Amino acid sequence: MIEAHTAWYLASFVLLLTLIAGLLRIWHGPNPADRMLAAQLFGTTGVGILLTLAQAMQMPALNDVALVLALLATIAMVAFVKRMSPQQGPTKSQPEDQP
Amino acid sequence: MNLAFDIVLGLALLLTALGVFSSKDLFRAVVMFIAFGLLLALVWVRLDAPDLALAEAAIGAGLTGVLMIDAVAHLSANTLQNDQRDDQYDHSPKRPLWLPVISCVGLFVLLLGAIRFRPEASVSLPDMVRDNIAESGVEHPITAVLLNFRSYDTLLEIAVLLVAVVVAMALKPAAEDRVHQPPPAHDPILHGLTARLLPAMLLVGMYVLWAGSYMPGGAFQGGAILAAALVFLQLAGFAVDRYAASLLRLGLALGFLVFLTVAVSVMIGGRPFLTYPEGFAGQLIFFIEAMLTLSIGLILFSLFSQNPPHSGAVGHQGANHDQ
Amino acid sequence: MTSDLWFALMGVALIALAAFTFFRQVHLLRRILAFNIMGSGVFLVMVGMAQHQRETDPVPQALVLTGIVVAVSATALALIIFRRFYSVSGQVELDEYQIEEPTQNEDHASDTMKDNINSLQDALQSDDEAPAKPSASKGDQ
Repeated sequence: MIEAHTAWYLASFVLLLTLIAGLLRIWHGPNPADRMLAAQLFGTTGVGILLTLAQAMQMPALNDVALVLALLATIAMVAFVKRMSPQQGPTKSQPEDQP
Repeated sequence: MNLAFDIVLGLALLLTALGVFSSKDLFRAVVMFIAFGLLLALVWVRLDAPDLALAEAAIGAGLTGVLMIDAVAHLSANTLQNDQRDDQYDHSPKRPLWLPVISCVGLFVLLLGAIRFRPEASVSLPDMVRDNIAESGVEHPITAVLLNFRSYDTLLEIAVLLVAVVVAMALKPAAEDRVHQPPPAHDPILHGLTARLLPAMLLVGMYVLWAGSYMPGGAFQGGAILAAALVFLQLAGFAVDRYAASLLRLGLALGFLVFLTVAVSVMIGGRPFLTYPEGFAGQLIFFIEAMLTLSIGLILFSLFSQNPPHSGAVGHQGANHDQ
Repeated sequence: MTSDLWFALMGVALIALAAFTFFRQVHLLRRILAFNIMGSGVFLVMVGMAQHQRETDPVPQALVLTGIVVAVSATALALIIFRRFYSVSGQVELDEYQIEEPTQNEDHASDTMKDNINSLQDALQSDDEAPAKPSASKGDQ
């Protein structure tokens, strides 16, 4: 039983290390889309860590947290695409843009 | 293994915060901030606080990120000479350094001292909660604290949220900007995503609210999820705030009004303010929670949608030519 | 050292660093970010210290739960005020060293605004690519 716990902890630890690698990509990513995609992967890895921790800590409530995170992490991406993209985001108010 | 995980997680949190603070590019700081919210959710998990992790996952990784991205987009849309942003960063070294350093070091030393030389707690709050949980009407201790033992806090909190949204409404510029906005273009990908994700979000919001009476969950988390769903709908081009303006305003105040009505009406039976009658506590708490969820969701959504539209301020950008 | 205490110490470090940034930066959006992180540090200290040495304590967790929701609404309100300020003054920072008379400032602002609107309209008519500039140049960084 203890070995199973350790294995789950090990899995979440490895995922945490990949999360830190993702942090580097957010820092270095040359353009905003790279950074945003890295943050999105951050959310996915976060779901993975939450699920492995739910097993490791014997805390089934964490599955709900993972569910919520998986659902809501997309919203930041949608906001980025809608608001920051040159075609329809910031410049949509300019009448000259419309053909 | 356990402690190693926590140490790495804590250092990653600190690194992310440092990234937010020291990033020259504003957008990078905002993305770092979203990552910070996610790491914080993991820290709450490690601190045995799944309720906080739930709220942080919905708010820190979802809502706050959207708000910040929206603000940065607003800034960069209105700043045509984009290199100006770096000038503003470079302004800071002109300011004296002693104030930040003293406040930083002073706070650090004071807080460390407070942690090191803290007094022993005179009462054990967990024991008190455990002894009284049977009478509270719910099984989950945090919901019991929020809506029964310390319901004053929650009542005042929803009042604070209501005040915030009223201020936001008062600050809104006149409605003339809205007519200029072109109808949102039909985006098949976003439309499909909305059709699939939105029902799931609403369902999970309801589930989290319902779960709050016996396991981690409750009105705050459910409200945050509802707000995120509404923000998502708004981003996808459905102008929620325009179609249901009057209904929205009723919903904003509903949670506070229902809570206050329940709190006062128990006084008719000779009870003190904000105590529930025996036997009905569970039902009353769930009723209040449902209304609170609706109100919190609508308030957080309104705080997002009350932002001045993007088209409003394009012409005003160059007003800082005197710098 | 337990992990609760470790996270509380991280909270202390976050508070101190955020205070430094808050005083050091002049950009209001950066200050809002720093203030938010300072709040998270306070929450970490509260929950970490409460659970240190004892079992899980629901009371600070409930308080922090309230705090998180209030913090996000305060952030949203701060952002609204910031954007309103920006659209009126065109600045992203408060001028702490050159405080002008309010009336003079207002006239000044409205005049320059008119000028800017005119010049901007001219620029837009002559150059269609102008609005796409911000996002394009941002990619270089």
